[in-house]
Amino acid sequence: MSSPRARRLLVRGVSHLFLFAIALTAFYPFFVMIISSTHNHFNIMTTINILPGNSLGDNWERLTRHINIFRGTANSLVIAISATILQNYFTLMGGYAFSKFLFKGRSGMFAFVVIMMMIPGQISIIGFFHTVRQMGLINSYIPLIIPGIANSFAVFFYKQYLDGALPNEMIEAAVMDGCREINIFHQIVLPLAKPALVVQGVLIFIGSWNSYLTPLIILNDRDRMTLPLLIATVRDANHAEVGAQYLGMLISIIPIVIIFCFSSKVIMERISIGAAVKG
Amino acid sequence: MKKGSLKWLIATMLIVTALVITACSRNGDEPTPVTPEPPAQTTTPEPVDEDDNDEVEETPEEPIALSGSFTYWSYTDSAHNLVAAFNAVYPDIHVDVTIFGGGEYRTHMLTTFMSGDLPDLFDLEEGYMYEFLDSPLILDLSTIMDTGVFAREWVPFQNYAMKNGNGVYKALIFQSSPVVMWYLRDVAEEWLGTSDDREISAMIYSWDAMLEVARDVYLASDGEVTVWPNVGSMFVVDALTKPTLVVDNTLTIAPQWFDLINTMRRVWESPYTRHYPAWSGEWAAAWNNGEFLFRAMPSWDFFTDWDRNRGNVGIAVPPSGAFEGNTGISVFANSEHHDLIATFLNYVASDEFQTLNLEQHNQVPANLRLIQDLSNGFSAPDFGGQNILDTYARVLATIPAFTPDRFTRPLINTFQGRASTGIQNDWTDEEIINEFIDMIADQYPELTIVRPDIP
Repeated sequence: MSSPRARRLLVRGVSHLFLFAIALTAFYPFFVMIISSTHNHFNIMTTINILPGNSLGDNWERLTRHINIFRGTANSLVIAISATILQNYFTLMGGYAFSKFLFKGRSGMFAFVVIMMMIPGQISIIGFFHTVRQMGLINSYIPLIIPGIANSFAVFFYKQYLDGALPNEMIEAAVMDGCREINIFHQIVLPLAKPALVVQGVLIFIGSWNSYLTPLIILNDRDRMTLPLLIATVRDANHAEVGAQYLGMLISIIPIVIIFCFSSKVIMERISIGAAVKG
Repeated sequence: MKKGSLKWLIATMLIVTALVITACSRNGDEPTPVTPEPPAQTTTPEPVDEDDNDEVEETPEEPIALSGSFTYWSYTDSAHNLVAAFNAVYPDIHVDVTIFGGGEYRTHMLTTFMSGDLPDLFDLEEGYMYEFLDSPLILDLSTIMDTGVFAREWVPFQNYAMKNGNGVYKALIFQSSPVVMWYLRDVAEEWLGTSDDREISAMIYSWDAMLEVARDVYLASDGEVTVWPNVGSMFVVDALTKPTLVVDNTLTIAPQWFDLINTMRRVWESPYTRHYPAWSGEWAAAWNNGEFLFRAMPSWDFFTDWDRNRGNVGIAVPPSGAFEGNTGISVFANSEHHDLIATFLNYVASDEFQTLNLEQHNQVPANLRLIQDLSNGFSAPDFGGQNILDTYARVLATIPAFTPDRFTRPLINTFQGRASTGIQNDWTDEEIINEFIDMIADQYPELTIVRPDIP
């Protein structure tokens, strides 16, 4: 009798140990970041720190000596929130069109969208910069927000989601009841896509929040810089300030953690399209 | 979705869209190319000439009645220190400093050069400086300041390093970055019997001499203490005294480079060398703990634990003269603030600022006459009272004077990487050279490559 129970306990114990090891591995970078933000540069460079240090105040002073971290946070929030809302709205529209409208060249255009997903954005960065410059948009937030509307992964994601989650009959019923196309989108598609919107929204927000290269080449004005750009400037040719940079990173992930806390339940439940469809 | 929710959603979208459009609008209409900020000059300063500069430098305590504003980009926020010192003398000139993260600064400058819309003043790091110096967007400094002083008074290699390939002064380098041998005084006393920099310099005048010292120290310490930490750093010390790799767009590897590889190999194979990755935390900790004696670093070293070793540091002359990590300040040719910038550059080049930079940050002036003036009786508390200017002057005298080009530092770095990797992995000289050539052929297809006869 005890043998199967013991085996179950053993299996459970091993599973828990394994999961604990994975969780530990995932948490370790955060642990390093949190602990390092309390140590000075030299301690971080030369020692594996387990316990908090006493340099948090110094790191904060160093971090904020030349940069306005609150301004950077506000700038990042404006860009990330705007990008999240606009990208979500328009890419859902694109995904809806590919999912429910039959038009000539649909398959070809969708294949084009899928191919675009596979091209790294960095390849086109010079051309992107030239275009932005010719449009007079250097130092503007528009190039950091608007091009994302053509987020091919999001279009693909919504197309796949709506294929399963939105029955054609529902659309047909709405049409028969005289609902206009834009109202169908707003009153039927948007509410039904809410779980997918949350998942994709988190991805877009995090991507925009952490974006570095594009803001780097577009933004020249210190007052318009995003948080990652500002944190990267906390360095000195003579005294690299890794502790202050870790503190800046710690601060920069706070909004992401908050977003995740609020939406984690939905993300966990609906992270897979299949689950979302069944839900 | 409920009707109320829909209205809320649409209202939010409208607000966000309005917010974005408002926030995204640029600061006024800026024609291209222009300086990033509109001129804020309130009085017209006198044109700067040599006499004015002298007057400025001789009466630094009197705030100068110049006013205005210009932009300054850098990749290190020590630029703020520079500007703070400048503003102590010129309080009415506003310098709008913007710092970009170090590694990506070059990328940012590349795109900015494409746009033709540069800041009034900007820093360039030695590793990529010479990619830009031929650009007509960078001002010939002789049009706004007395560049003759560089030839007369500057350290010779810095004088050349500030020019582009046509011999035009395009960047101001206000501090030297000579590579020296850093040691801890108490550790040197214990294992070498002296902490005097001249005596120590004499002990390590060549790599062979260094290997002998390494053997003695290793045996005396029962293998606890070594002298030299790795092979990569040898390249930093020796590379600039080897024949130039690229001349007239042709890569030629002279036999002296093979000598360097062989010396590196001997050091690697020596049982008295410990192998720490250069510039790693392990390397820095081991040196600060006294586990090895010497490390080659430029004067701007940032691996010393000053909290622990302040007053216990010494520097000695390495086997060869080298510099690394120059920073040049360049001027946008189309800037509307050349008068203010001239004032700034003249201040940065002044004895006053270079002395301040030495006293506050232990940085070596670029002005050799000033070094010689100050070196008589100079004592650096951080270095146990050592006359570091005397040591630096001896190193500076051995650094070859030449104008680098866009190939110089990148090729040296690539060669260093291939040689270090090859020696550690037991590659033959031929394999090292072939690896190096293959990488260079990929990176610089415009180069003609002469394959050397492997000795």
